[in-house]
Amino acid sequence: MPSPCREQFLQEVLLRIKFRRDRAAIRSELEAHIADRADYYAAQGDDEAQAERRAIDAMGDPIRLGVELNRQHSPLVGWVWQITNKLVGVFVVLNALVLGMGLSSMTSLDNPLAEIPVSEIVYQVDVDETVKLDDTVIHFTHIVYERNQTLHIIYEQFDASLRGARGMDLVGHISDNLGNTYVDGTGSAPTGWRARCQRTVTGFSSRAEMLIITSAGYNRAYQVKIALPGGSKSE
Amino acid sequence: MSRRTRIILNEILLLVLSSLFFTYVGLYPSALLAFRNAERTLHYGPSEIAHIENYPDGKLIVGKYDKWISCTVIRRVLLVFWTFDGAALGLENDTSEAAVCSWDYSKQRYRLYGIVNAPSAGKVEVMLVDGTVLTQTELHDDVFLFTWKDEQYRGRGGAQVVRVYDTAGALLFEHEYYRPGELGNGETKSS
Repeated sequence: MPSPCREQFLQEVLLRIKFRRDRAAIRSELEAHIADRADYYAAQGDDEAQAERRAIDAMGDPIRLGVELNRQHSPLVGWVWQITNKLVGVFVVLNALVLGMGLSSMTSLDNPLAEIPVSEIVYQVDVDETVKLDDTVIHFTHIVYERNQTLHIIYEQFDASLRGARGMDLVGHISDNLGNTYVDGTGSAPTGWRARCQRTVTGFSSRAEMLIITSAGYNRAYQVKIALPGGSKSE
Repeated sequence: MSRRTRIILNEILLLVLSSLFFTYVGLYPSALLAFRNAERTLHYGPSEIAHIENYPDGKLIVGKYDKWISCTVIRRVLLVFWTFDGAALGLENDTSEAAVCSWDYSKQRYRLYGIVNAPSAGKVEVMLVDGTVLTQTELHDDVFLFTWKDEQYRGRGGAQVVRVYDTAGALLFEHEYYRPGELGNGETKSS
């Protein structure tokens, strides 16, 4: 419990601090200073009341001290500091949410290969072909061919600019070395930072020895050629 | 560390964190930045901007890229941000034609845009299916843009015919979308 003398000194100082949010911290600091000095005087032989009075006197004029502290604790600087602190907190949370969603979309990726019955697979080719369109990177990873002439192209797609994949399937025209082109099939649109996607075409020739994936549009193009077991091996 | 130093550190942190977040969600501080990023995301452009026009809640940007033209909607959100809100990309400019045009529709608004190749062109006219005639006598560079609201026809009240005249009033180009009296059904019919 502060003595009336100490309380009056503190009030005189704190009244001059316009940024009210700092008053509690300043009060604690001043109290600590006064207590330290009072302990020093008490150790020199003063009684408790005398030691505290001397400690308060040693702090100087409360009005001058208050004016000086107010200058150091400008309301404008104080508010800017408080607001930027809060905003940093908000953006840390928002980025954590975005990061969390991105990571969760990456860890919960379906594995299209797991859904294809092993007994139906004629051949599977592991691929490591990467192409880039603007900021989008497409990494072809597997080709799986089924007995029913369905061909699965499995690839990962991500945006190198951290904008996130925007749902555009950038796998273009599918053809083979025999001159066949394939338009029937299904595809999955990418979502999240790094999406694992699948393009499936039906009626793919079992004799094809080369899969050709071509994309061209608006002065951007790529072509990927992937060797397939094909021919007699796949019959 | 002084409070002023902490504020500077906070401001740097804010710049980095907010840039990361707004980039991810597709919000940009200017319409132009949103347009440029939209084009890159759509694997198109960069276009030369031929015309920018105010549009409800945003701006319309007609761009020219190589042999193509585009019409992009950039919308203002949260008062200070801009975001991509749709685009008609890749209308090929056939320079053997006096003009080339196309249209797009969303949120009860039509946007008819095109490019004029004939140097003598002086006026572009659009007749809507309800008989309204819209006219543009000043081309923006060599592109034109018409917008109109369509509440009555709900996406079926488009342009019936687009005509381009020279400065003397002679017809240079005519593109008929629908026969007179026919309600637009979304199909394009070239004359």
